[in-house]
Amino acid sequence: MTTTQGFTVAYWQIRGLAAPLRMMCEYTNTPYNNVTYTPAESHKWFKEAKPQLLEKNPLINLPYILDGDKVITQSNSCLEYLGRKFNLNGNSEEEQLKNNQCLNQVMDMRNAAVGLFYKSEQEFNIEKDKYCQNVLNHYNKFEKWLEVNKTNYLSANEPRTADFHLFEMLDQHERFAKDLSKPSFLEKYPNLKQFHHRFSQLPGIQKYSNTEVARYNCNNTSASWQGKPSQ
Amino acid sequence: MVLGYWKIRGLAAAIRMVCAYGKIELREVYYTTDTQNDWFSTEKPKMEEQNAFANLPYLLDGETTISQSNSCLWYLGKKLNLNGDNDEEYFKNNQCLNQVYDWRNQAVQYWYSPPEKFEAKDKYFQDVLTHYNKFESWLKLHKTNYLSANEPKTADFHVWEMLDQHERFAKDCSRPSILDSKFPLLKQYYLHFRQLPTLQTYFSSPAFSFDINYIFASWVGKSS
Repeated sequence: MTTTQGFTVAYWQIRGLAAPLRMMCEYTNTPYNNVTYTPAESHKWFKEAKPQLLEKNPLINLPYILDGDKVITQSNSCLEYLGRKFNLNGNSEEEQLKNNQCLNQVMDMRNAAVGLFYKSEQEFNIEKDKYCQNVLNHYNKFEKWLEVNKTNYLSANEPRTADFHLFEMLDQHERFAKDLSKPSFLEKYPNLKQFHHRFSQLPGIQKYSNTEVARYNCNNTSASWQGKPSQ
Repeated sequence: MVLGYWKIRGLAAAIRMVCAYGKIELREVYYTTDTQNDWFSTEKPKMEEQNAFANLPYLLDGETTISQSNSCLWYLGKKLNLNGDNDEEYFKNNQCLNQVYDWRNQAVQYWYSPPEKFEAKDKYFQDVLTHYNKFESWLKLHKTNYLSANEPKTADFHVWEMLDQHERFAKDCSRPSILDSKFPLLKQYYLHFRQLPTLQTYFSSPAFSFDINYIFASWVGKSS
């Protein structure tokens, strides 16, 4: 793996933290080199790509972006980098500040989610019901945010970077609820439900949803909830 | 500019340091176990009408309410031109901000864990070295005095804070300094930052002597 591959988005062969990055590329019609690692290929990451990329970026991890001679890692930095490249971080200082806060808030939501998803099966089964209660704190915050700001998306009437990650988290949780035979999380949150639907109908997102990468599992094989696509 | 947070160092220390460094006059609202009901029952619901993510820490700047500590740092960084002088510095700073936030999440998860989990100190002191290795290698690669440039940017304030909290933690656990073990660049970085003239007032202020964590933590980090 060298940096002469052209514009690259690299991650495990799952949706995980890369889904919003891939969505942003599809949404902006930007071709990208989709580099993925499966569990069987993890040596390609740990033994080959990672040591090489460490020399250019000591923080290197998955996901990473290669763009010319740049090597960007840390998913919120990758999101903000693509946002800068695609002009999706906000068209005014106000939008940028909103987008920035939403990016961080969604990451809090994700950290809580993967905290559950990657627990051992025993712990997962013990914690999942409490999780489904606690996660509503995040739903409440985003529902209220949309109510207060009165925009179609989190920062504006058009999507900005944070919307891609929020959509992914909401979408994963709909799948999660279904797999647990629980009712949809969105049913009690009309603003979020509308947000989720509206976002999914964007032509660029429809295009994304027909790609192979959109049908990856949500999480890695080590997770207690892998989030396999519906058959 | 108003900063609201618990009366601890926690997530606010970096914000306080940035304001001191940038000579921003900061009025602070401190929350304690005595006043936390004011926050949860009255102030937070009211603030949510302006900013639905209202949480501690928050910044109030005129009509603007900012929540999420990395966003507070970003906002101050914009105001004080401390986010990086060009795209390259900006994304170095940005990645370091996110990396140190990962470190902090792991640290607080450990420090606030119940006694049975907290006792696994050897494992924590081993695992935490991943972050030290990353930042040491980063300084070695970039050869700058600070993480993104030869002057501090916003991420430096949080990285320094985490280094300082961990020096204190090692001391409280009667273990040797982590910096002294094999991180010469980080040690140099840590000492230089501590000597910054514009921060000396902060280092002499009560806020620098606040407990590091909240009273419910397994390690509170009480001031010496």
